[in-house]
Amino acid sequence: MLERIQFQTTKDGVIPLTDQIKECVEKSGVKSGILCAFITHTTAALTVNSFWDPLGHEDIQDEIRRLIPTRVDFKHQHDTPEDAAGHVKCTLIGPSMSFIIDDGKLLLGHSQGIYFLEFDGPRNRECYVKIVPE
Amino acid sequence: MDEFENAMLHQVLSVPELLEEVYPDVEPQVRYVMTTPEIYSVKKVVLTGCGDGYAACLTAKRTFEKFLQIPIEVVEPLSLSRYYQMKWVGESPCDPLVIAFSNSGRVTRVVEAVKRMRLHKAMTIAVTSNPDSPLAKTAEKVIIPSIPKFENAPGIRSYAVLQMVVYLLAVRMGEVRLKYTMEQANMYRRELKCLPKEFLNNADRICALALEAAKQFKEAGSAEMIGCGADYGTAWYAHEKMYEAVGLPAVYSDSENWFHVNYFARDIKQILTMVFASKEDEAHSRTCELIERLNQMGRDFILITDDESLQAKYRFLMPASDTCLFQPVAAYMVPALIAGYLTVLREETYSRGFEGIWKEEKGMYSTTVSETVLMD
Repeated sequence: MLERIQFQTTKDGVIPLTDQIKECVEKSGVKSGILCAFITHTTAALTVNSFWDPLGHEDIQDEIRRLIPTRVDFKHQHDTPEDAAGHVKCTLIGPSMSFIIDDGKLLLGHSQGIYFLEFDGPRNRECYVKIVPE
Repeated sequence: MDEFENAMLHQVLSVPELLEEVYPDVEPQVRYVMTTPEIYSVKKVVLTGCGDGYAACLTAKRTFEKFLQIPIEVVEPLSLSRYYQMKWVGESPCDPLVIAFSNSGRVTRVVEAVKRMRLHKAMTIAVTSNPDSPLAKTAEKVIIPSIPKFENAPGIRSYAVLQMVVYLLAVRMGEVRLKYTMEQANMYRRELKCLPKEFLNNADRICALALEAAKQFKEAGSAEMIGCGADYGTAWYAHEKMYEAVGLPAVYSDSENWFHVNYFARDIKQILTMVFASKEDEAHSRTCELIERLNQMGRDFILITDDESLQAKYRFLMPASDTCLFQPVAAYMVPALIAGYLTVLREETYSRGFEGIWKEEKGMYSTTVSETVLMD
């Protein structure tokens, strides 16, 4: 089955998707299998981070921006500097993640949450979830 | 209505299709004419042009100001070439950015102004349909919109395209400078393309009203065009068309100056008054005061507005848009239509047919025949 999660982002937003993805697992009824979360964007990424402190999410964006600053002399100049930087960030972090479904539940560590990282917001975004039963 | 068909009417009605046709050619040129570092280097923009080009600059000035938040000047080519203070020109890269509009690319004064600015190291961009023109060869960069041939008439189609280019430049620069998102920028681009089409959704009714207005003002001895902000540019365009198409002396003014000057005109029945009133314009309150005064004076006038609360004998309602800055991309069609009908009613020839005393013979000075003087 394929599910689509739609949401709006803010500039440099870190959007939690854990609950919506867990709902997809429940809805599927699959007891054991693999879940693939995939985003169809080139200026955003998926990641797993601790959900305990939201400031930790800001650290992630701050560090990504430090590593890949928005600058005016990217070779890609079709759109904006933020867009150009976003492409690089997306490539390095990645647009998809795979997870294990076990005993009808998403296998996540006790601190783990699934997050969408926005690099060129605010935007309307989407994340696809594909569940493959064992 | 067939007896009143005219080339200007045909040009106006063809604009939506024209914009769809030229957009795929023009938008990439605008997108790539400047690099991102160049766009970021710009600290001031100088817009210049003659005739339709100048009007396009005036309509877009507020858009550049709002989107870029840097100084924007609209300078006539004569001022730019002979009077402009050059002390701060070229002090830093791309400063100022000079964008010059001339469809033919042959207007001597525009070429002269661009030559002077380029010599002083300003960044110069020419917008012209003629890649082999003196202007295209003088400027550092060129945008060349390709405008399909059509029935000849005073500039409407060429104006529509020049206007689209200047607005697209503002949108692009604001987008790159991260003043708004790419989604917002693309929405602006869509609006620029679609507003004329939306306005002409009721083309029959609009043309009928324009003809009715033209019939009332058929014997007018002069015209006054009033607008503020972006509408000031449309007022300028309108006054130009009255001269060019109808041979009718016209003035252009903002709402404030109308109270100081035009207010005192004697033969009000002989004056064709046109008021452009965008609801979100900062001076809209003053324009509303002007409209109330006109009504109190018993003066008939033509109103072009997106404010449904305003009343006039001849009221043309503009389609709603995300920003009032873009109203001019449709508003100019009204004076173009009325000018077209007036030429028929008055049995006038566009540009006097360039016959008689208007005939340009070899050796006579004109827009393209003039001594070039390069100031320091």
